[in-house]
Amino acid sequence: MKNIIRHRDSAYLAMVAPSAILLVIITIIPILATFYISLHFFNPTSTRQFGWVGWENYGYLLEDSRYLNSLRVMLWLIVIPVALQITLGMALAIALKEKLAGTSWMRVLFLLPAVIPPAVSGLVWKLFIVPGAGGVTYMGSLLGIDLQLDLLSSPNSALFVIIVCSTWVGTPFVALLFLSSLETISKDLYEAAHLDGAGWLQSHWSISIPIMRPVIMTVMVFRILEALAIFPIIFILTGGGPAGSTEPVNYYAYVSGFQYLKIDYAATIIVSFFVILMVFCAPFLIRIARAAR
Amino acid sequence: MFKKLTGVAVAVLIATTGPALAEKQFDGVKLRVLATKQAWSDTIEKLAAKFTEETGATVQFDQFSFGQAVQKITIELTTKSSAYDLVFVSGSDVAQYTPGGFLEPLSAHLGNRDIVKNDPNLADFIPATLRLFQDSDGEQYALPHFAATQIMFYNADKLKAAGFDKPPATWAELYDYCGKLASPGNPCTAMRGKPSVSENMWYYSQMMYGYGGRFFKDYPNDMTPTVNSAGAVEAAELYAKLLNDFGIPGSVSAGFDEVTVAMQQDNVSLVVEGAPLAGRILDAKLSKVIGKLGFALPPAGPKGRFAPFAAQGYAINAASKNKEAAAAFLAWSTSSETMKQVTLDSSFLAVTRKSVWDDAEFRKKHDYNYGHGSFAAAYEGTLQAGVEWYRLPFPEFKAIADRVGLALQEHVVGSKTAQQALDDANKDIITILKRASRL
Repeated sequence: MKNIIRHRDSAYLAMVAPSAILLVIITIIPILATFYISLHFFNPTSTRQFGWVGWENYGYLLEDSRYLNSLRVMLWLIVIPVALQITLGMALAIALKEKLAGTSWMRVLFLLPAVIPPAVSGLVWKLFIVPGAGGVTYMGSLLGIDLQLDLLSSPNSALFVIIVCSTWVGTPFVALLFLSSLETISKDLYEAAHLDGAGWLQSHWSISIPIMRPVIMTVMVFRILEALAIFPIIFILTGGGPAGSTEPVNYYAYVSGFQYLKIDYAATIIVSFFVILMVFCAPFLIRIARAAR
Repeated sequence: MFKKLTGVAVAVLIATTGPALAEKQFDGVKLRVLATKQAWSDTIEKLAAKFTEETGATVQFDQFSFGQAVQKITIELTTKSSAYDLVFVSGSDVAQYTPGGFLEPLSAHLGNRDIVKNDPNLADFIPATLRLFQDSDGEQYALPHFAATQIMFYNADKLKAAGFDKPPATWAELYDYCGKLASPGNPCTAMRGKPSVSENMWYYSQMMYGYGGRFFKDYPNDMTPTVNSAGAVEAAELYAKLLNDFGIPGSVSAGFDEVTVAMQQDNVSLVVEGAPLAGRILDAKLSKVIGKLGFALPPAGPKGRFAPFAAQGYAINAASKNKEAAAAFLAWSTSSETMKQVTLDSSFLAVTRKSVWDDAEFRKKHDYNYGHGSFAAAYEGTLQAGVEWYRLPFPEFKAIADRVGLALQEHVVGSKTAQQALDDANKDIITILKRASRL
C-alpha cells in the first residue's frame, strides 16, 4: 500500500514539476531579483558603484513627494474604475440576460473595447477628445454647443478621462463574465420570487447578487490586479501629466527605471507596488479561499 | 593574332576595372546610426551614399522621435549592446555616459590619418559646442553638428499695429507687450509647457537665471539645491502668468512642435523658441509669416540675459565593432563641406562650424532678413550670449531638471503655488542627490 502511495506521489510530482519550475522561473525569481536589486544601489550611469544599501531606498520612497502622489493616483485609478466596472458590468449583464429590446447585438459589440490593443485605445481616445478637431468638439457642434475643451490640460479632467477610458476598457469583459454567471442561475428561483411578490430589482438583489458573490469577488480581484494595466493608455493620452495627476506607481517606476536609469529605485517602487496590491487583494483572496473550502 | 588580341583585351579590362575592383577602406562594413528624427539626420542619410562611394562602408539610419530616441540610446549604451555604431547625444549626456565607459574616446581616431583621411579641423568648430562633449580631462566624446539656443521670433507687423517699434528686451516687458498684443481668441505667445529638461526647463531656466535663481548654491563646490530661491519663485510665477494669460490653448502640455506651428501659422505675435527651428517656421511651403518676422535676442531678467545653450552630435558606441569606420563617418558627416551641403539641401541651419556661418551661400539661404534685422546675425549673437553651464554636466541633472519642470507644471495648472511646488521639488532634489552620494 505504501508503495502505491509513494508511486502515486511521484507521479503527481512529475506532473506538477514542469509547471512549478516554470512558475518559479518566470514569477518567483524575477520577484526575488527585483527585491534584491531594491536593497542595492544600482544606476549604471552614476559614478557611485553598485552596492548594498539595505532599506535605504524604501526610506527615500517615503520622502519622495512624486512617489506619494503616484500612490494617491493609483488609489483613484483602482477604486473608481473597478467600482464602476463592477456596477456597470452587472447592470449590462442583467440587461443582456433580460434580452431587452435592442440588446441582442450588444454581446459582439461589447467585445470590441476588450480586444482593441490598449495603445490603440489610447490613440482613439486622444483623437476623440483633442480640442478643435476631436469627436467631443464635433458632437458639441451637432448640438450647437462650443465644446473646445482641452480635457488633458487640467489635472482633474485628465484624471477623469483616464478613469473613463479604464472603465470603458474593463466593463465589457466584466459584463460578459457576469452574464455567463447569471445564465447559470435557475429560472425557477426567479419565478418563485415572482410568485412571492418580489419585483424585478428585488429578485436580482436577493437572488442574483448573493449567488454570484464568489464570481463578483473573483472578478473584482482580477480587475484590481488589471486596473493599472492601462499603462499604454496613460502613456499615449497624458504621459502621466499634467503635473503628475495621472502618474500611478507603475508609471513612476517606468520613468525612474527607463528615463533616469535608477534601476534600484524603480525596483523599490515595484516591490512597494506589489505589496500594496497584495494588501488590496488579500481580503478578497481570503474570502475566496474560505468559500472554496 | 588571336593570342595578341586576347592579351590586349585582358590588359584593357584590367586597366578599366582595376580601380573599381580595388578594395576600399571599409568595404563590407555596415554602420548603424541611432538618430533622432530631424532635418539633419534626414539629409545626412541621403548624402551618406557619397561616404559609401569614398570608403565602401554603408550607413543605415534608424530614426526615432526625440524622447523615444533618448530612451533607446540610454538602454543600448548601458546594456553595452553593439547593435548601433553611432548614437545621438546631447552635450549634457556626456557626463551621464562617460563614467561607465559607454562612449568611445575620439582623440586617437580623429588624429589617425589611416582612419580619418582628412584633418577634421577641430579649430573650425564653435569652441563651446566642442567643449560640451569633452570630459574633465579634455577628451572628446562626440563631434557636434547642432548648436542650439533660443531667440525671439516676433511678427513685426503685429507689434507695429500694437504701437511697438522694437521687440521686448526683458521678461517683464514681454509680459507687458503681451497685454496689448493678445485679445480673445488671439493668444500673444506660445511656450513649451511639457515638463522635461528639454521642454519647459529649456525655456524656464533662462528666466530663473535672469531673476538670480540657480539650481545649486555653488555648483560644483556646494550642491545644496536652491531651486526654491526667491529669484526662482519670481521667475516661475512670471512663467506661469505668461503661459496662462497669453499662451496658446493646450500650452500646459505643449512642446516645441506646438510652438513652432503656432508661430509658423501666424497664430501668435511672438515666441522665444529654438533658433534652429527658423527653417521650419519659415518653411516656404507651409509658413504664413514669411516676410513678416523680426529676430532678436531672448529677453533678459533683472540679473542679466542667459540665453539657452546646448549642442547635439553623434558619438561612437564603446561597444561598437566598427569603431574606425564610425570615426571616419563622424568626421565626414561633420566636415565643413558636408555640413554646408546639409544646410543647402534642407531647412537645417544650426551649424557648429564657423566656416559655414561665414559662407556666402549659407548666409544667402538662411539670412531671412525681411527688413527687421538678419536672422543669422541674431542667431550668432545669441550663441555668444549663451551660457555653457545652462545644463549642468553631471549624471543626475536630467532627473533634477525634470523634477523642477514638474513643479513648474504643478504651478501652471494651479495645484500648488510656485513656492510650494518649488519647495517640494527642492526636497526631492535633496533625495536625488543623497542617493547619488552628492550630499
